Amino acid sequence: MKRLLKVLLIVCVMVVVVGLSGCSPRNKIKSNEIRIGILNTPNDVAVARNKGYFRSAFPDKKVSFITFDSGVDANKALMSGGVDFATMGDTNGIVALTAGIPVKLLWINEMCGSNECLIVKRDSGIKRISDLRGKKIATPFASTSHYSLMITLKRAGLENKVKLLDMDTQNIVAAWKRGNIDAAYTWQPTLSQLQSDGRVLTDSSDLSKAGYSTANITLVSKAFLKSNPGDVKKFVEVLNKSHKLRQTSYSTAVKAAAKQTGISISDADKQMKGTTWPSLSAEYSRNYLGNQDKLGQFMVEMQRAGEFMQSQQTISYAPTLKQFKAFVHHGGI
Amino acid sequence: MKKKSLLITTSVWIILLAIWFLVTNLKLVSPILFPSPQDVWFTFTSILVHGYNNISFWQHLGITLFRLFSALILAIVTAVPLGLASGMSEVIHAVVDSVIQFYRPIPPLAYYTILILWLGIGEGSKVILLYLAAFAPIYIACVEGVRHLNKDYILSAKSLGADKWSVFRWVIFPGALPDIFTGIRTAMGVSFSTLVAAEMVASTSGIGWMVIDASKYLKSSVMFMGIFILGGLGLLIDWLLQLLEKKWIFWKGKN
Repeated sequence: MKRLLKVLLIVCVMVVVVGLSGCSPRNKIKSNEIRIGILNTPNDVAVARNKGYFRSAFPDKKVSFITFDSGVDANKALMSGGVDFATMGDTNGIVALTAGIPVKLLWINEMCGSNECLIVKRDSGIKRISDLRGKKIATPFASTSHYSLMITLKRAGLENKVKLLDMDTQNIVAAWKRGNIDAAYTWQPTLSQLQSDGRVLTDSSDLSKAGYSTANITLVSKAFLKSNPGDVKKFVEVLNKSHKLRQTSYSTAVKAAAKQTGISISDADKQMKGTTWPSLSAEYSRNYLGNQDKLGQFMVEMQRAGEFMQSQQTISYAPTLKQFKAFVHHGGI
Repeated sequence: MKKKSLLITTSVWIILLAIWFLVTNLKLVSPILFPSPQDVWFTFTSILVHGYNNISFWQHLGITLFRLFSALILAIVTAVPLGLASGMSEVIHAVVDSVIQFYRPIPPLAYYTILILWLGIGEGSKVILLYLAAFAPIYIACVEGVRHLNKDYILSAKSLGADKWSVFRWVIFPGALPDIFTGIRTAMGVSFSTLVAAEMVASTSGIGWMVIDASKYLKSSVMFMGIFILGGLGLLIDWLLQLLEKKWIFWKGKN
């Protein structure tokens, strides 16, 4: 009997030790591979991929791309050491910071604008935001749209006066078509499927003007940053090349993004027009990430978003401005 | 022998709990990967008191149980008669069996969006998803239960002058009942494992939804808590079913 217990104890300890050593993200950086988590949207990463910027910047490395539906899964991948870089909405960046995932904020891919909207059914009789009282609104929880919706409702005094539903984008389309929901806060390309019988009440550019900006950002794992600082710098240069292309030849950039994400050129155009891509110098200016001395405006708004999320009890604590400052990696300079 | 196995099982759990406590309190792993037992307990008590997402814990539990049991009862009411009929009649078997065998191995998530398109995002699509998961095991258990009956019993009952109904009432149904019960237990397990998927879309309540929502914000202690509740609930329901089985089907295992 005692021997049996001993054997059991040893087996249990072994199982746990083996299991935990598999969990820890250490030693997972492969020197000849760069793994990038991406969103399937027409952004700078898509342009860079299609134009072969990554290939020419990292000729002797294997660059692999993993598509995530949302930052939720990208965070899990970062946590487990499955990717080195990951693009996600800034609200998920706040989750990553709060949860203590060993990552740094490297780059703002695009500022959200008219590509993320609060849309209602045209025949629903909803004309103003205040008409939303008691209505069913769907949005993917933990996304930038979710944050923008909550801010919109708070500003209209409608918190807890509407029925919120957590759905991913394709289910929003299904529920919309069936008439199960009255409104949705979502992004392109889902949005264009709703626009035929919908009316836009507000979009993220309105909120941005009011000081509640949202954006897609790229995070880099601290382990990768430590072992390959040169590659991180090159990565920023690659994305900046896309931003430059958009400025110098917008149509070429749109075509590349459309081809890479498998959507029509007109759709890509619509989506890209709704977003702003900060240039390299703008990224580290006082409007966006800021520099070593002073935190940029976007980061201040991100910190405010953290406080809001904490008040909603979605994250356990709101990181301070100091923590946000330590979170940014000034990679390009 | 029984006492010994109980002792071993208890020690396994005590050892696992002790290792969990040690590993997390010595800070060997990040609390997101592995929250400590105190953390999980603290989360549990605070959710008991304050609820989660403005809904009380008991409402979460209640809606989950409602979805599960309405699906299970619906499955029992429909699958048992159909399964028994299919076991007794070649014609009915030929009509329904292939259809059920076809849909049975399809993962529920594969057709969930279709269910939402057909039935909407309310409770209907969730209950039907669980129902479909529970239906097949009960149906198959009924067919097998009838087919494995000792033919001599039926023949001797008939030779004693029993009519069709009496043969069913006194021989076939009681004979198949142990198998039916096993089918119900399996069905409970299958629909329980589909629960999280069912609560994944367009819901803002339920224990499964709580785990999914917590995972979006990487709240590990809530995820751990939800998983323990789901596991415990599964064990509890199965234990209750076993009690019923012992009480009602005392002839199981005897010929």
